[in-house]
Amino acid sequence: MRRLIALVSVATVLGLAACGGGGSSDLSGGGGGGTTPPAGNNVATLTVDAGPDQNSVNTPFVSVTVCSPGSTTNCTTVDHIEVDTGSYGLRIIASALPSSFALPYETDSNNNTIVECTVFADGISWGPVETADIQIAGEAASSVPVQIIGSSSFTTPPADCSSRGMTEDSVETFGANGILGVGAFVQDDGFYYTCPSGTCAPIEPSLNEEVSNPVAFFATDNNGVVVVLPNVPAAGSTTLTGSLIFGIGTESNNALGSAMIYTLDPDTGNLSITFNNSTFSESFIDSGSNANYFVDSSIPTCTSGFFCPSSTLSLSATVTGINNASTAVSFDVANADDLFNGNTSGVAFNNLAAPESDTDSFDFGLPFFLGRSVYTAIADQSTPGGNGPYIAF
Amino acid sequence: MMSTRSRRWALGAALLLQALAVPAFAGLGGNAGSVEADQLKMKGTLRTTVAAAFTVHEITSPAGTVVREYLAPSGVVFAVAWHGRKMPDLQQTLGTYFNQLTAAPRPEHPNHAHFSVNEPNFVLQSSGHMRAYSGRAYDPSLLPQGVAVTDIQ
Repeated sequence: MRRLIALVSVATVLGLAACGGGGSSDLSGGGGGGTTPPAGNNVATLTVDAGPDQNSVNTPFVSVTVCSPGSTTNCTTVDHIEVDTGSYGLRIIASALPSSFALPYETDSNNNTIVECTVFADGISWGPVETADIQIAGEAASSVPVQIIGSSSFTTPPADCSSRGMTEDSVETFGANGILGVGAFVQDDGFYYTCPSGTCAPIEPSLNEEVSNPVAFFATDNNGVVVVLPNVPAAGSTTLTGSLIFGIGTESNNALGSAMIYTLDPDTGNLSITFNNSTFSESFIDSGSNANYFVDSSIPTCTSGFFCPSSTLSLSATVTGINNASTAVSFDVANADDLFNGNTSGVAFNNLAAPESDTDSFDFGLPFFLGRSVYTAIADQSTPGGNGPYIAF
Repeated sequence: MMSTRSRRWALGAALLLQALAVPAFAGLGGNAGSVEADQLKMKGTLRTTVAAAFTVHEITSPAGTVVREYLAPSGVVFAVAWHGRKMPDLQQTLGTYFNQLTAAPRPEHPNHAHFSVNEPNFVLQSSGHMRAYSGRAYDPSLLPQGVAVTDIQ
């Protein structure tokens, strides 16, 4: 089955070959990542700044409006929602919402509230699933399951949840007012529970009950997103503004153009990246990673956890999709201590990198997105470049 | 390197005896008996690989998450590693070291796809994203001679 999907995808890419693609690209290149922000109903402003905790670097944020389902008045807009192509679904920290604002709980057939344990690599977030109408830029999605993290009504995760990492249930510990998962899948495949009489037990919700990527719920422009960010100088930038464009090939401002398509593993969302003559088969391209993470024992690491080479390195890695589409990408690695000390207010760096612990993985994080338009197509959704899941740039 | 059915049977018998004497929560820093406890907790299948400097017990949960526990010749679990669609139960896998994970300081510039703890007796590195998590943890003071950190994966 997977081979069949791959063959179809290869055929799709071959069909697109006349449009260009292939060869190498560098940080100044890419399919139209420009200085002029695109306009349109499907364009939300991306802001890269220090975030609510004042500690963020290379983290893109967006504002999201949520309303009680069917209401145009019981609404609130939350800023500093992190835009993450490595997760799926909208999650908001309860304290970032007005205390007077409430959304209806999602319940199971026994009228018990469904509560989720979200797991990121750095911790767990506990909170109920609630139903919201979502507005971002000119796009609207109705009755989407979202997670409210750190709810005063569901304060203590069960041991089955808290045993999977440290708890991140506040703006300070989460590092944002929330997160908008706009990656290449719809459902988040998380851990779900109901807690009748205060005792939580795992449940298997139906797919439409899971917290889900809101983009797939839009009436139009619902097959994926384009993250567009300008490049920054080698010393970094203290401010950066870009665009989160909804839809791929649905409007004049989100055409694939010369972007090349790299299909993703339909189970994991991963693809392959070759670096230093080694192939890392579980690699990914992720706006939620604040650096490029890869294995290179020859580069010293400093106490901040990032790479600190004695002088800036110019490196290259080759991205290869499941469809075998392949492109070399050049990138720089600067000394992170020098970057942070030289630009103490810096929030965007295209040359920040860190060691990857997974010996099968190379993670092109936000530095990769600077100076590019990066398309993320949702699994099984149709686009002019074929069905998702894929990344294109 | 290949495990054999007979070796697994023999090991299973030995583990059963040891399991009677060890607490259910052990994982990192525990012994072979704790591997059995972890396997039972995960309702997983166990595969054992014997290398020169250490033995690897690999437990695969029904959900497909793989946890590897690295045993030194002395029998102590000096490292653990995991990968799969779901994050494993780290309290089970890390044993008493789990408290050092939950008490660890947040990094200066955090992100949700990577997290590490670097303490004299406990190193943890976690990475990945929804549908593909991986990580490893070890106690540097327990690493057997000749074992490199990159052997833990």
